[in-house]
Amino acid sequence: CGFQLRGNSSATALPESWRSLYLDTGNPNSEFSREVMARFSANGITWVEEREEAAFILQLGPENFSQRNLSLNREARAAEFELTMQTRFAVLQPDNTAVIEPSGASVVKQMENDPRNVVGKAEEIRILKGEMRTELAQQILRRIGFFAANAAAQQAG
Amino acid sequence: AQESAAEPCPAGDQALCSTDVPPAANAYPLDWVPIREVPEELQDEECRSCRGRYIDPLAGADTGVDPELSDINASAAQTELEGDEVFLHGGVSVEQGYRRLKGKDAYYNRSESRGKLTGGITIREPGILLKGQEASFSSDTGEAEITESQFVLHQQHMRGAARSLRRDAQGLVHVENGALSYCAPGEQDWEIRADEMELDLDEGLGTARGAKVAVGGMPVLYLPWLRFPLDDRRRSGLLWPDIGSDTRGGIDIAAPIYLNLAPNYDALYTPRYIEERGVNNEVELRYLNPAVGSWSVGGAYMETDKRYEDERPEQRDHSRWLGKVEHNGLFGQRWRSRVDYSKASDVDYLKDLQTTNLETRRETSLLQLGSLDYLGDDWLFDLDFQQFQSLADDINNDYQKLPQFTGQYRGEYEPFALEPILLGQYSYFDTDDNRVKGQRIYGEAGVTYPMLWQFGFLKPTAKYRYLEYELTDLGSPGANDSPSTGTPLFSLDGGLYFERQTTLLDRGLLQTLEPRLYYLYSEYEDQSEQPDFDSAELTFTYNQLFRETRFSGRDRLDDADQLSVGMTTRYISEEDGREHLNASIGQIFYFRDRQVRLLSGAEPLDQSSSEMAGEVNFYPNERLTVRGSLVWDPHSTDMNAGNVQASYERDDSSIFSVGYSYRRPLTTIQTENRNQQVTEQAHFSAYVPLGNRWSLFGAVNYSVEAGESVEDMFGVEYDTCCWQVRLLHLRYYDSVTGETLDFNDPNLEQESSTQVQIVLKGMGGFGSRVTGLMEDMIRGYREREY
Amino acid sequence: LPEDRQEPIRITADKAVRDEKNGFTVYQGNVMMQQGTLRIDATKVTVFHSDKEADRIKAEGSPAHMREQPQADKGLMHARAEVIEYFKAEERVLLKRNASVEQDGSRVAGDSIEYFIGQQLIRADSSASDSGRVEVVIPASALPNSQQNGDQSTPSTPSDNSAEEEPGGTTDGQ
Repeated sequence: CGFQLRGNSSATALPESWRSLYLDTGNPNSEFSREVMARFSANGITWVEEREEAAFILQLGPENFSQRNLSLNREARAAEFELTMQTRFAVLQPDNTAVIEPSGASVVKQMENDPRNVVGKAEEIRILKGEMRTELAQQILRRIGFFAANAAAQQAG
Repeated sequence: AQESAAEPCPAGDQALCSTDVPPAANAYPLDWVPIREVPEELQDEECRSCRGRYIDPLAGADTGVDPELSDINASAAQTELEGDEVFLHGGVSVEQGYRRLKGKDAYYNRSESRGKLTGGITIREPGILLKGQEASFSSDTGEAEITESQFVLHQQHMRGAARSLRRDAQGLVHVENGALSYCAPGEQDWEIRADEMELDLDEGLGTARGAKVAVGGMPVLYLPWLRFPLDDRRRSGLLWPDIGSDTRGGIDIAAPIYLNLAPNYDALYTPRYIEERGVNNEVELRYLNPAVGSWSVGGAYMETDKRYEDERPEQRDHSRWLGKVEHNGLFGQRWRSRVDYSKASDVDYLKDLQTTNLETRRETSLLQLGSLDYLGDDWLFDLDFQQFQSLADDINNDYQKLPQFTGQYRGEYEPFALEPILLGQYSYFDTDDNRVKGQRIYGEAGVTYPMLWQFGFLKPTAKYRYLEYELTDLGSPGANDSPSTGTPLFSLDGGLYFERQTTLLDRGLLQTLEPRLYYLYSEYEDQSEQPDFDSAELTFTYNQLFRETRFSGRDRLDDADQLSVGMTTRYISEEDGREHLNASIGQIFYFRDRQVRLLSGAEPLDQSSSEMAGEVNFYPNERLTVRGSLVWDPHSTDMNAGNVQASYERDDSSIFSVGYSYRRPLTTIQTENRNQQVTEQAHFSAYVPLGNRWSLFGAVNYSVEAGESVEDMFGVEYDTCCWQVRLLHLRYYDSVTGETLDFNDPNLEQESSTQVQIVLKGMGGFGSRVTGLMEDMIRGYREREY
Repeated sequence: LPEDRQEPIRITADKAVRDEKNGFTVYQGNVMMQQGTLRIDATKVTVFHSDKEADRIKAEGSPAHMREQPQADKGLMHARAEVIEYFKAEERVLLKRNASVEQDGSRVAGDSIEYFIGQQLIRADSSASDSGRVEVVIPASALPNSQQNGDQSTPSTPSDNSAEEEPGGTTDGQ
C-alpha cells in the first residue's frame, strides 16, 4: 500500500544546511527549552552558543499551561480536567528574515479528577505536563524538519 | 466657495459639533475613512462596528530621525525672506522631517526658530493630527499651541476638540476646555469633557481634571480627577462597574478603581456592595522588579456577612475574608521561584462570594504552594512546600508536603550513548487529622541507551528503584514504622516510521504510520505496609501504554510484566508541514496479574489485556478543530471513557463548539459511598455576531445521567463603535452550605445570576464578571481589549 | 560687499559686440563678469551704458549664475535664473523663470524672484502660472538649536563653493 521506511532522502530528514541552530528563548534552562534542545539534538541538530554562528535561529516562546473543567460529577465537582499546553515558535535566518512565520503549537490532554485525592491528582498533572512538553517539542521538530526538507528539496530540484 | 475657515466650534458645551473643517489636502476630514473606501486588510472588527476608521497618511513615516535635525521645506504661492524672517502666503505647506504643517499664511523666524500659521491650520505627525484656526510653533522643540483646535490620535482611535491645545517640549499634549471621544466623527454617543486634560502618548496615559462624562450630549458623571488609557498597555483609573444580582447574595455592584502607582507597581481596589451580605473590600497589589520577580498580593475582607450569620448562627465570627499571594521569579536563568498561596475564611467562601468565576467556584481545595528550583546544566533541584485548604466539609485535608526535595539528573537523549538515570527525593508528609504521617525517601538509579535512526528508534532502559519510610501516628501498635522496598525495572521501547505520499481532498499530504512496542518488566514486592501519601491511580489513556508506572506520586513501585502495542498515523500537509490529522490506538497485554494496589486490601488486577485506548486530533483548516479520545473495554465490550470536542471559528469572530464526554469512574475512586455512577455530559457553546451590532452568546453544560443542565448561560451584546452593553443570565447547580449536592434530590433548586456590563470603549474597561464568564463557558472565546 | 562698487569690472567672453548707437554692449559665449566679490557667469550678458540706463546689466543663460558676498560674515549668495537683471544703483536683482537664490544652505526657488541686496530682502512669486509654487528650504544646520546639540556638520563655508566652480582660468577671446 505504498508505505516505505523513512530514509535519509525522505521528506522529513533534516538537510545538512539546517544542522546548526541557535535557541532564542526567555529561559534556555527551563524544562521545556531543555526538552526541545534534547529532542532536536537527538535528530542531528547541533546547538551553537553564538547567534551569528547559527544557520538558523529558533525563536521559542514559554510553555503556556492551562487547565479547565471538562465535566462535572454528581456533586457538581470537576469529574474531568482538560489540560492544554501551548507555545509559539518561529525560525529566522541570521538576518532576522522569517523562514517559518511565528506559529503556534498546542497539545490537549484529558484526565480524570478525584476531589478526595487532590495531592495524588496534582502529581498526575505533573506527569502529564512532562509528556505534553515532549509532544510539543516533537510537534515543533516535525514542523521544522518537514519545512527544511522541502526548502532543501526545492533548492536542489 | 464657503468662507474658508468654518465658524469656530465652541469646544465647551456642544463640542465636536462641526466636522466640516476646511477640506484638508486629503479628502477625509479628520483622517476618518468610510468603510467602503478602507482597504481590505485594514478592515478589522473595530472598523466594521464603527463603519470606518482613522487612516494616518503618515503611518509609514520613518520616525527614526528627529524632526528638529531635518531641513525645513516650505512651499507657498508667494514668499518673502528678509534676514532671519520668512513670510509665506497662499496655501502654505511646510515639511520638517516627518512633521507636516499646512495653513493659509505662515511666518517663521530663523534665529528664534519660532513660527506662526494662520487661516485653517493642520499640523501632522505620525499618529497625531492637529487642526485649528491658528498655531504658533517652535521648530526646534516641537512645541505648538493651537486655538479652536480639533485633534485625532489615530492608534488610540480617539478624537477631540479644544478651545486651546498645547504641545510642550516633552511631547505632552495639554487640552484646555476640551472634549475627547472614542466615537466616530459625527457620532455624539459619549465623550469626556474637562477643563484641563493632559495626554502622555509615550506613557499611553491621559489625565483629566474637572472631568464630565457626557452621554448623548448630557453630562452624566462628574469626576474631579480621571485617568484613562491611551492604548491598551495600561489599565486605567476608573473602571466600569460590574452590576448584577444572584441568588447567593442579591444585588451585587462592584466598582473597581485602578491606581497606577508607578510603571512597575499598581493597585486595584474594588469596593463591592452585596445586598444580602454587606460591603466586601477587594484589593490587589502588583509589583514587578527583575531583582525580586513579579509579586501579586490580594485579598478581600467583609466585616460581617449578614446572610452567613443567618445560615451559620453557631459560628462566633461572621467575617469573611480571602487572602492570595502569587509570585513568579527567574534569577540568572538558573534559580526559579514560585508562590501560589490562597486561604479563605471558611469552606463556603468561594461558593458565596466568587459567584461569577465558575472555575474557582467548583474548586474543592485551595492550593498553598511555595517552590524554589535550581535549573542546572546537568542537575535539576526542586524544593516544594505544598498543602491544600479543603473547601468541603466532606473532604478531609490532603497530606501536606513540608517540604519535598527532589534532585534529578538532566539527560541529553544523545543517541548511541549510555545515559545515566539518577533521581533522589526526600519528603516529609504531615496532616492535621490523626492519620499516619512521616518521612519518605525515594531513589532511582539506572541507565538507558537510546538508539535513533531515520526509520525508527530503540531504547532499552534498566534501573533500580528504592523506597523507604519513617512513619509516626500509625493506627495499630504492631505496624511496621519503617517499611522499605526496592525493585529493579527493565523496559524496551521501540518504534518504526513508515511514510507515503497521498492526497486527501485534492491536497498533497504525507501520511505516516508509526507502530510502537513497549515492553515493561519490574519485580513484585509486597508494599501493603506502605502508606499512600501523594499517589493516585493514573487515568487510562493512550499515553498510559508507554508509561513506566500506573500510579502518580512515589508511594508504589509497580509490579509489571507487560507489552504495549500502539500505532499512530499522521497526515502532514506537503506545503507547510502542518499536521492536519493524527490518530493513535493501542492496548497493553499483561503476562502477569498486577498485585501492587493503592488500597492495601484491594484485589490484584487479573485481566490479561488492558482496555483499548485511542485518540484523534483533526485540524482540516484554520477554522475547524475536532478532538476525540476513547477507552473501550473489549472484555465487557463497553466504553469506559469517551470524549469528543469540536470547535469552529469564523472570520466574523463567531465561535461554535460542541462537546461530549463520558466516563465510568475507576473503582478506586470513592465518591461518598455512592455506586460508581457514570459521568456523562454534553456541552454546547456559541458566540454569534448577527451583523447588525447585535450578538448572541450562550453555553450549556448538560448532564445526561442527571437529565439536567448543570450550568447554562445565555447573553446578548449590543456593540457600537464606542460603547458596548452586555446582558447575561446564568443558571447553575451548586451544593448549599454544609451539604453535598445530589441531583436526584427532589427539592434541589438552581442558583441563578444576572449580570450587566457597560463598556465605554477606549476607557480601558478590562475583564469583568461578564467577560470572565464568557471566557470560562464559551470555549475558544477571548475578550478583545478596548 | 558694499565696497564692491569701487572695484573695476572685468568681463571675459568668446565674442563681444558694441552698439554705440543704442548704448549697449553684448557679450556672448561663456561670459564671465567680475566686480569685487560679485561675479556673473552666463551665455549672454548685455551691459547698458546709455545715460538713462547706465547701471543695468542683463544676463541670460540656462541658467545664468550670479554670486556675491553680501556681508563679510555671511556665506556667498548664489542667484540663478534664465534671465538675471542687475540694477547696480538700486542694488536690486530681478530673476525670471526657474529662479533660485541660495545662501548658507537655505534656498528659495520660484518663477520670479526679486532680491534687494542692500536690505537682504528676497521676494519670490509664483503668480506667473497657477500651478507654480515657491519653494523655501531652511537647512537644519542653519537652525541655532542644531548647533547647540553638537551638530558637527559645519555650515558650508564660501571657500568650498568657489573651489569646485573655479573654471579653468578666464577664456581668452577667440
